[in-house]
Amino acid sequence: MKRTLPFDVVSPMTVMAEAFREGRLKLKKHHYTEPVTFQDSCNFVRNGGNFKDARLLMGQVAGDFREMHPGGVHTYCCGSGGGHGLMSEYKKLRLATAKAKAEAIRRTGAKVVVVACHNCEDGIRDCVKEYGLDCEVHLLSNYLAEAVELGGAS
Amino acid sequence: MNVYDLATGPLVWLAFALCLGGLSVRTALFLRLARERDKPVFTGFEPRWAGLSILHWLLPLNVTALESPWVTLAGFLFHAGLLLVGFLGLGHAVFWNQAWGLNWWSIPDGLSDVLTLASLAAVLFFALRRLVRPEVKALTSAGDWLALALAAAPMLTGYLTAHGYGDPETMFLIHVCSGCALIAAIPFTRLSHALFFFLSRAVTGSDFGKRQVGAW
Amino acid sequence: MALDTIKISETLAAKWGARLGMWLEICARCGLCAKGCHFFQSDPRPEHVPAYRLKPLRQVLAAKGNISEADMAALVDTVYGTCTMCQRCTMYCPHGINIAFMVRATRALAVSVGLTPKGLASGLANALEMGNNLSITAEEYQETLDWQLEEVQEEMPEAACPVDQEGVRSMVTFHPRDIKFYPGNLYSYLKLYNAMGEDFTFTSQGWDSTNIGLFAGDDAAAGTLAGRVVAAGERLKVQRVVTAE
Ligand code: SF4
Ligand code: SF4
Repeated sequence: MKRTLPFDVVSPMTVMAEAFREGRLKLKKHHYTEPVTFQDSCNFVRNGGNFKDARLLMGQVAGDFREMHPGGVHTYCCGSGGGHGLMSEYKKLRLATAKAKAEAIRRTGAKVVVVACHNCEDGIRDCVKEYGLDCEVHLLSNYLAEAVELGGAS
Repeated sequence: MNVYDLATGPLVWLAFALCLGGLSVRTALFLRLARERDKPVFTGFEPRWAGLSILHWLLPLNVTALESPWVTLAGFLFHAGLLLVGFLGLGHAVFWNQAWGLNWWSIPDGLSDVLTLASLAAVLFFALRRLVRPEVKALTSAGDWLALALAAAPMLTGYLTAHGYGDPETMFLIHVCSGCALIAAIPFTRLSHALFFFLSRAVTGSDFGKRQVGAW
Repeated sequence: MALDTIKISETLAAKWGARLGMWLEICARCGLCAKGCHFFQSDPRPEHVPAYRLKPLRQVLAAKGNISEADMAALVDTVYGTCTMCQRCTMYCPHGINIAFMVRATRALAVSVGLTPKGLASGLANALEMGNNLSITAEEYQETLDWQLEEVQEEMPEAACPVDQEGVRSMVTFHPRDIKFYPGNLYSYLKLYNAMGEDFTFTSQGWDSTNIGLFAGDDAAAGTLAGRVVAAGERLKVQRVVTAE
């Protein structure tokens, strides 16, 4: 199925990190003060090798960034991968097995979990709800968009 | 020709011929199958990551060594005993020399004893683990017991022979025969991981390395 | 409906390959991969050990495809229900066995006889038929873009929302839910891409870059879905395609 494409395929995270590095994207330094952690998506870290971009962006906007353990390439699945977000027939099991992730989040003490993947967004939302974590879940784009310094570049 | 000559002559030859011949055939078949219908094995190959991945698991430089230290330790002791004493034990070294004119390092008997006992202890540990840990027990099949028995038999009988337990000639004969069985079985059982460990790690190492997961 | 075991054995033959055979053979059933899997870490049952996911495949192989309906149902529950194909276990396996790869191959057996779990099957059908897995129409799509652009323009009057612009640098794609349930995401994308001064475009066709076919283990469907995004990228002659978040 793999064939050479006439274009590159990149993730939004990469595009934003690149623009940030080049100074095109201006983000307010430490715009957020509440403790926040980042959910590395299996897909980005284990398929795409995309670990650093998220750290760069989060480090800029978040004043109190906390790593999850296990995290990075060792991140636990949000529980919603592999089509699990769509298979209601296995929902009970999915929630039961989100425990490992829930504990990883709880240990960070974060009040916000930023996710950069729609699957993870569902997975983490369900996980937070099921395990009564006192956390909001935000999509990376939304999290960054709010911290954009307007009039910085155009 | 008596039984003794038969066992230490043609039988050893046969075992090695089966082992090396079998492994060559299996390598050739693997590569052919990969060429025909599993192209990523070749197109994805990255020598650097393949090499690093193999290295990280030949040495305990991996996440499992941290997460499961006891199994890792047992795994290393087990393989070290088997391979070191198998190739370099004094008795074996003398045999390779007399039979095939091979001349290489040998290790003193005292060290062989320690390595063998440690290796046998590891076998016992693995066996107990298979019986006691529910998750391992559920996975275990007959082939796993066969593999353990194949490896344990020559070590146990070798130790008993060296220390004069039992009837020396019978014990020695069992030692040679079980050793030959182990060697001959490598290409045809799960023991083929002697070869496939490297191929598999090369494939997965390349795969994960390329995606910057690293030689974890 | 009787199980089409011939189909299963055909699919099995088609899926057979060097890696599949090697990994089935050398798995040491040591259970070290259990440390890798969030199923086992959350609920340590034997069925949650990653290597356990190879059992159904072994079973089908031993029976040369000729397996019972009950066994096939168990296969579906195992490879769909208890694995998210996250590949974490592979990092814990001394042999580097890629369980997710094997699970995907096993899922293909279920797909071949129409046993894809319902939720996944209907999402896939929508994606194939409507161009996205939430059945969003072309009008809905364009309306949502326009609406969010207006919102962004309140903050950034010069913001633009180009669609189907040829020869630009980046073609930005979506997850259908961005359009249907979370138009606010669209707002953020527009704000960010405009703020970056990125030379970008959206596309009216092939904008759903999620691929349920891959999840389902349905290669034909996965090829079709990916093909649409590729076609859009080629049509617009862009330098890069930005995937959905
Ligand atoms: S760790 Fe690897 S070899 Fe061991 S049981 Fe799991 S998959 Fe098999
Ligand atoms: S790939 Fe499947 S078996 Fe492996 S860790 Fe992820 S969910 Fe568990």
